[in-house]
Amino acid sequence: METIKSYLDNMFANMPKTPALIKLKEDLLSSMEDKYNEMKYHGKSENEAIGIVISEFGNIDELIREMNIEVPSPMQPTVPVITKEEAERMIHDKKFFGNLIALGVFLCITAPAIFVLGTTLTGFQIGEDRAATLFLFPLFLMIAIAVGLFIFSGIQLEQYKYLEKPFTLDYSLTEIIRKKKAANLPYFTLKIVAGVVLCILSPLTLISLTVFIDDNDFYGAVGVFLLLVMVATAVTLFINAGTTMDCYKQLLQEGDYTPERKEDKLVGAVASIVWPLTTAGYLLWSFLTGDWHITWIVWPIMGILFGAFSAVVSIVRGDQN
Amino acid sequence: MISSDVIRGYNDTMILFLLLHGDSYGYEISKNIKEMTSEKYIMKETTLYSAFSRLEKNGYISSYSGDETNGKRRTYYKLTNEGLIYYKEKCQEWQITKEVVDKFIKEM
Repeated sequence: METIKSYLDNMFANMPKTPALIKLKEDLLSSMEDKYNEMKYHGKSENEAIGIVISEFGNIDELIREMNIEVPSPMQPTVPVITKEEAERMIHDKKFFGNLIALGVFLCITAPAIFVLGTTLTGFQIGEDRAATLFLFPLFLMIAIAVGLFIFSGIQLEQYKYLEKPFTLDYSLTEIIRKKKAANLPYFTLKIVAGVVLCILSPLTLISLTVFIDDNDFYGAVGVFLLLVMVATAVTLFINAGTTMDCYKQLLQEGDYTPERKEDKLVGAVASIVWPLTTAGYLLWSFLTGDWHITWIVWPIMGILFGAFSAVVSIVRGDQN
Repeated sequence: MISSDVIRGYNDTMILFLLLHGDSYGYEISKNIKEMTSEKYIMKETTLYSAFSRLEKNGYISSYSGDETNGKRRTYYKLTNEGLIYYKEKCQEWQITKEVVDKFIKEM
């Protein structure tokens, strides 16, 4: 029955929504449903019944001519139809490049984690300033890779910009995507819940290490490292869950969509500004004051703030379901 | 199956004929046509509703919303006096058409 509905929706997709046409569509649907039900009643299979109903539908142009409907002429751009192949490619790309953005954010957050841990561990032998200089290299490299990933993914995803404008899905595709989306929902929820739990637990590792074991630089650094890795994992989960769910919603054109699309880019955009700035601020503060033992506090604070920001974006997006 | 080109001029006649016996709705009419012709002619959905639109515009039928059955309101169609006159004209026209075409039909 859903198939018949989406078939009709497709047929009427380009037509103006006048009361007369809405009425006509309802009448046609009711008539087709009657036919379908009777066929099922006489023992035809679901597929046979749908096949016959659709084959006996006729030609929509006949109705257009008869009713003098103003349909956008082929000269004018009409609403593009998304085929199954296109939709599958789009889902694949959105997930893939979404994961690249997630990886970039992960690198941005773990880069300082490695920096803090590395400088603390080697700082005992070679002195804090030299250790910091040494570990600047991986720090910058990771952030540079991450920014590269943001820009690359952003450019690759540009090709799906046309999905921000109205389009129609190829017949029966709506149902397929709706099913995929429903199948994805448990994973989405699981990822968000896991991410939120990680965010909440992350400061606890730092606190328990420094308070219960020993409040020295070593445990502090290990604590910061674990905290940042947990936050990074959480944010990666949020982005992965968000992009997957978003591409289904985008294809189904659900909810008010443009704002969601903006959020989609929001996490990546904010990350590419916030983390280089944080790095610059951290280095400036550290080199100017030489207080390496305390300046690392910038990272967990920014990590938690960024994690909270991503969580809010994901939850707001999840609420719109 | 009959080609829709041949029969086009008489879709209206069939619908009007079925409305002679009382008001009816889309699916019932298409089902009756299918059964009366032993499935030799199946009127397409779009043909049927184009005809309803045309007939109603010309004042040959009128439509109204039926009582609710199984949660939906069907649109019923009713033959008007003009429709009855038009139907009689079409019947005469067919008699002549048949006579004319029959002259050129040969059993082979």
